[in-house]
Amino acid sequence: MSVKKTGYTFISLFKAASLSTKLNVIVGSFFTLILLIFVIMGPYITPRDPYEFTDNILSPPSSTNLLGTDNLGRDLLSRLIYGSRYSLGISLVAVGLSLLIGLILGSSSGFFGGTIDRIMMLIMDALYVFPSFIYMLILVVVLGPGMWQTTLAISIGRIPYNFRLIRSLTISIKERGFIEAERVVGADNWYIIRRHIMPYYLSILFVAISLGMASGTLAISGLGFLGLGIPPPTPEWGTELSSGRNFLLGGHWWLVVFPGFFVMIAMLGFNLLSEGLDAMLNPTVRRLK
Amino acid sequence: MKLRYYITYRLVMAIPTIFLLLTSVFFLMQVLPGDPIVIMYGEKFPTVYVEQIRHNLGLDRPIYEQYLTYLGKLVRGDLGVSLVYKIPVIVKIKQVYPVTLEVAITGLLLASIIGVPLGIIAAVRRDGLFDQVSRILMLYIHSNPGFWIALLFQLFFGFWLGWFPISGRSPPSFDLVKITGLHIIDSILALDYWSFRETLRYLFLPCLTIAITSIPTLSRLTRAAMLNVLGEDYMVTAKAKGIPENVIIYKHGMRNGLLPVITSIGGTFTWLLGGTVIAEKIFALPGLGSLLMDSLLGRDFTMIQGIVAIYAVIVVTMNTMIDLFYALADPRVRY
Repeated sequence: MSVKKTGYTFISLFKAASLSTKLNVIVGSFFTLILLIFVIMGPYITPRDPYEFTDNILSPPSSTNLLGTDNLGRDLLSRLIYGSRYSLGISLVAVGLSLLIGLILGSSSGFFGGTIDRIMMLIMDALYVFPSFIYMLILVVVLGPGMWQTTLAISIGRIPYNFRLIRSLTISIKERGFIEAERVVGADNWYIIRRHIMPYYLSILFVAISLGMASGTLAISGLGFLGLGIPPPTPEWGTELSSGRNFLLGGHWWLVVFPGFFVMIAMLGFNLLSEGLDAMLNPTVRRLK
Repeated sequence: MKLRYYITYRLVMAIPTIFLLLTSVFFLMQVLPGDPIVIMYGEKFPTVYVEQIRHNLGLDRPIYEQYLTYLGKLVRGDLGVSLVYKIPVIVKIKQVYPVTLEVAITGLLLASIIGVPLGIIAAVRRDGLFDQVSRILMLYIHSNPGFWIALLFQLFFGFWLGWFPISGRSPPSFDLVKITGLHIIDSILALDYWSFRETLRYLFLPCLTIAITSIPTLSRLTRAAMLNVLGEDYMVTAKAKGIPENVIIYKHGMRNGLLPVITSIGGTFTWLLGGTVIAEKIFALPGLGSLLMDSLLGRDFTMIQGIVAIYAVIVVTMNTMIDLFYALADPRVRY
């Protein structure tokens, strides 16, 4: 007996999605793409050197400095474009790392069950109920300032969330009847993994990554804002906002408005993308629509 | 499972959670660079005495012994003495916690008042104009980092319009007898209109910041919960019996749909505690979050452990209470 192929592809799913889902995916991808260009091409497209001091200090947005300059005369636009490497790069590495650990711990815990699962759940639940931002704060202070330390702190802070996600996913797949049914009709392991388990995991991993990018970006800029992220003069968005804040009451609004705007655009892009991808790829959500 | 057993079970299960959090923080503090004695007495303190004090404080004993002593003291409610303030940690925490509580609770209240109805209307008018617009709006608001919103509020309401004070908790001439420590309640108890108004004026921006960052999550969860209930069979039955739409939604739908909402309000509260750290820093409020930040930067080990202990107790109590409430309201949970 031949096994019927479902034949979903990314494009066919996109075509089948509702208009608002399509819009979410398109607009989200657009923002993400722009940021990706900033990350990859950063040093080549910045109008000025992000570290160069000039005499033109605290000047409002003008034709020479599109977003104005900071207290040391550095061009804000260049610093923010350059900073996307740090804000988004760290976020991406942190999300990847914590997903990887979550994937290993969560899938083994969910798959084997029993005592190990119960102990893991106890530990992860304890960490999950605690505000993760406070946990990250403590970790950053313990690990010390720096790029890798911040990355590690953020990824550890997100492990409980990813663990729970992957664990429940694994259990739900394990208990589904269709895998057993496939086995009965003679499908081998590799076929089952390739056709059923992988797509199931992948669709949710896509969403988890883009959602994680949003909260990772928020976490790193939040830490930077509190002065615990990447130390200056590195132009990380949160750090920029934190130093710009000192000039807020002098009326130098651009030093606060624009760095935050960059964080906002990044988060909006990732949130739109994850919402769209979720509606598009996730079979349970799709059925509800 | 009988309700009595369920309650006992939940209360017992809360203990390992608190225990795990405290243990992890205890060992993190051991790794934290910095010598407690130096923090207490400064760099220039004669070395002869350092070992003596270290011995008196029990810091020269093996880690596991220190850990057991720490746990033993904790059980008796002794959080130790702050290295920086030189007063018992619990005394300092008692001074500052009302600030955090006031901001967190008023913020949560405001968020619930706005977020929950938004979610209900969006669910009832599913895929209608209201639902679509609110979904986009909520996604947009959700994408604004809280610290940015706070700074924009300061810039707009405080600096440009001058309507609200941008930092602190009360005006300099503020004079209120301390009863609960919560300024809102204290000023009502003292029947002091001016203090009450000033408290609200100072609280407005931090509270609004906290509320705005929580509204999207709350309204989204409410919408999902209501949609779940609206799709239930008994709703269809009620409709078939000819009961008016409003009655169905408010009597049958809300009662069942609001249970998960209460859970999500509790979850939001936990998450919001992280947000208060940033809000307190921006608005210069002397609360738990500011104290935590200062202690982290000043390496005040005992204070950090104490604050985490308090956070852990708050969070776990909140979660346990919600679970219990849920079990009381919905018998299915107990089984």
